[in-house]
Amino acid sequence: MSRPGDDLAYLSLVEVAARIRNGELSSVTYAQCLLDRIAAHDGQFDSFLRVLAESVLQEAAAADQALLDGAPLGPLHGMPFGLKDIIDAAGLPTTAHSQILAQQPPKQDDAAVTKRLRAAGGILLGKMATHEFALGGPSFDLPWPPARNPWNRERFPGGSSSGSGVAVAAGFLPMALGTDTGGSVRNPATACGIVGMKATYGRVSRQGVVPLSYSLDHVGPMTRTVADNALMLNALAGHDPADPASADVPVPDFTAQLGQGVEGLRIGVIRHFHNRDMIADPVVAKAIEDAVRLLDELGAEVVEIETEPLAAYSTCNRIILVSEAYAIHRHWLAERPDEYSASFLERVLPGAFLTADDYVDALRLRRRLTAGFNRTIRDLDGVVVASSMDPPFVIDDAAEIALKYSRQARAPFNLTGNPALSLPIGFDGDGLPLAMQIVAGNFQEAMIYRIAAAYEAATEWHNRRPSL
Amino acid sequence: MSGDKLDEMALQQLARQLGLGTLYDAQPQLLRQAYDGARAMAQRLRRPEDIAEEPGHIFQADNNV
Repeated sequence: MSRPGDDLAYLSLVEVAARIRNGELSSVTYAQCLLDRIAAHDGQFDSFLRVLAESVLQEAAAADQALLDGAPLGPLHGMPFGLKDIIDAAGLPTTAHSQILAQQPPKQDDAAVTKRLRAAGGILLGKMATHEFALGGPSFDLPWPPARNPWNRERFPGGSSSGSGVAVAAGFLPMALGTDTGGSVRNPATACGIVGMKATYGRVSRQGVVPLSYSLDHVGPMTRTVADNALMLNALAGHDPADPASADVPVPDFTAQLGQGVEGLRIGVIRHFHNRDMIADPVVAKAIEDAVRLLDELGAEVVEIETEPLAAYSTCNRIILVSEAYAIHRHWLAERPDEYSASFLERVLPGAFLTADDYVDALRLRRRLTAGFNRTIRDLDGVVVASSMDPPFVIDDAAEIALKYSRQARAPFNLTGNPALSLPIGFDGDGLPLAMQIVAGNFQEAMIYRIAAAYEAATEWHNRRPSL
Repeated sequence: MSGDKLDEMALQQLARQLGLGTLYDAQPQLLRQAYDGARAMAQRLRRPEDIAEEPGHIFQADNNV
């Protein structure tokens, strides 16, 4: 149901940026609209850890003045954004949604991605809820509550970039940043019905981001539409010598192929992840088949492909992730264990009992899986694959969390580093979002956006709004 | 880890060696669950047998390209 303020709050990033640029809409008006909406509704959803009401209005006023002054304007001029609270912003603490860092002093500097969004004209509106250190959760034993799904607050909104996904879906923000180590941008994007991109490993700098797993961590944009996401990645991508994994490769205009359609493209579909290796809920499987059929009708050549079993990727990813995470947290685990949430401890502690040979062998398998996957998709423009195997589950049902949290096909692409995007493809009978992933060869994000945009243009899922 | 079964005394000692004694004292079942989970995960890993198969590396001389 549409309510006053919904129309402006749900305008796309592309549309708002254009209106601000041509003077139809002031940045202050837009920011105030979002602040009003957050004040009215976020009490139900807990997506923000910190709302910067005063500074966002000051910066929005400065953005409006810059327009009047004829100053050069960035592509995100006057546009508010949110940061998952493991990403640094100068003058603010980075809490990682944890008691461990809750009393940290404010950061001196922005993370590289924060700087890039500001340089493009973005205005920081707030720091967003996350699972503790991007690993635990959903947790009810932390200084802040977990974020809740705007489509149904009793349901899990995905994690670990929960607040970012919730705020974008709820119309509190047009864009937010998440991080993704085993799927944590794409999980909340899937559960909240928005678009989330994990670009190629090395495409987006991780400097100034609290690490979870050095070799698997990615930072990624979260938006309501594909074009918005491409625009945001334009601002984020680029080589950063301060990130040792940053790739020094050309950065294209990620919006350049939007609107070119899928006619003539070869698109693979990996069905065995969700119909053999791990049996998806029928409503998820049907939505994926419907999406594949639509891509075929739009002119793509769709071919079924096979890769290694999902468990081979998932186990390899998990061993690397928890080994690296344990190494990062070892000191605090020894000295301040009672300050962690139960779910964080449960997930990180296996890292204490993995051995050097377990870790090295996982890295060796990783290389084999990565090479094999890229050989398999060599002649394809993109690949469709499941995201979550189930619709969002009940947020405080421990049995469901234990059963369903790991039922996903996102981790393979943290392992291989390939770009992967979560895209809404429908709703289940309870009105909860469903999604698929589109994956491509390394540094082929523009092609992913092209395929996703063609699907999005032929469907209406992205126009549905949660009733807050 | 040689032999993937560990009796409670050995687990307690290992936890202390790792600096996790406080946690073990408070929640021994959590450490048991972590140990058993880790070893089960390691057993599921499809380990390459050819020693010439190298790991992927984070660091490469020219910034990962």
